[in-house]
Amino acid sequence: MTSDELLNHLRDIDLRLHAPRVQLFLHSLPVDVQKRFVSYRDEVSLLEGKLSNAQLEVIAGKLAELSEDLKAGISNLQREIDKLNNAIAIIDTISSVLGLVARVVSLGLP
Amino acid sequence: MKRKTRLFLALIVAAGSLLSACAPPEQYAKLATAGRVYAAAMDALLVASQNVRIDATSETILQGDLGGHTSEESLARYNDSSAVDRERIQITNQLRAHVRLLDKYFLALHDLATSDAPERASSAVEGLVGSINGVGNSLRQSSLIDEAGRNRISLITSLIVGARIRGKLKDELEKRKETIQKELATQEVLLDKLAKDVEHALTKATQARETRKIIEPLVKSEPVKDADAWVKERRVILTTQSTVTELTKASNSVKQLREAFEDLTSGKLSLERVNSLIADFGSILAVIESFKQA
Repeated sequence: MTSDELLNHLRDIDLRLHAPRVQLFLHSLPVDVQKRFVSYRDEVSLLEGKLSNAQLEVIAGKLAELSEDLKAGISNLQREIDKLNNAIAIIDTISSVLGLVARVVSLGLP
Repeated sequence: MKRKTRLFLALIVAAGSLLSACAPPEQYAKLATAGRVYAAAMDALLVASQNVRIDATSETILQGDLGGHTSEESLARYNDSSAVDRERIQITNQLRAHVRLLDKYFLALHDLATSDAPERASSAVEGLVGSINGVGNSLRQSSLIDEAGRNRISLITSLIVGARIRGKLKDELEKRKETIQKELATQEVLLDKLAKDVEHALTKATQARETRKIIEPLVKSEPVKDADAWVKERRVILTTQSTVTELTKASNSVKQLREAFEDLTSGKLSLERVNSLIADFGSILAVIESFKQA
């Protein structure tokens, strides 16, 4: 039985144990029987919850393994955006310097 | 002059061949948008599934609280159930942190794909040419670069910067191809598990609410106290479940996103396909929002 099959089975039992008909019937039982039934029913619910968590934890682990490479991708893309912005800033700076040169030269010439 | 024109044409051809080798930035931008909408939907689903789980546990605790337990026994039942919920909250937080990282990746991809650097570089170069001409005019009363030359330089700059962006986007996706494939394949599994998890938790919580709020007041010997509230509550409870079935279709959309990334790197992607993916993820988000309200 795979973990998926076991989980499906547990979920099916869990729902049946909490069905309206069962819940109404439970009220009519003696207290000690009620308590025993609730205890077994809780056990099924807890197992279902733990198995669901375990499945999600495995997936979270697999995704965490990919995090470093995604971070590298983000840095790579950000670096490229910065490089382009820097190149444009350099061109703008050269342009401003040349504008100043032109003014200085025109002031110096008759 | 003829030599200049030939050189210009050669540059245009070179830039054109660079451009044709890569998918247009709009496709990268659209796919990045699809990825971001998916990340938003997954984040909402993670929060909703965690909350539905907690509600289902609360209903389970209440259903077992029939008056026969001692206070120690009730506390033990409560603690056992809460421990599983707390573990779930921790796993959800880990998964959400990863989804935020995925969103950040798609955002960076989108930012580069929609960068206005080609236009800004083109106007910066135009400004530079203007400054060079200013120096030329000061030195020898004539421009160093004529108007036609200025337009060519501006156009070539825009094409080169655009081609560089396309090239970098292509390089990035090729470098990250395996990671993205693994990421989306794992997301597909996650979505499938979450959809089933939500379906179970919601069915259980809804069934318990129906027993507690609808059936038990009805089967009691005295009539239902607030009939209008009972009617309204019953409608809400009975219609909650129908929204969940939509979620089971969602993992197929992630599969399509994975295929779309493959198509983008091999140049086969169509914008219509990405637009349809964005719409699909938008609908998933709407479904999640609707059962979050329930």
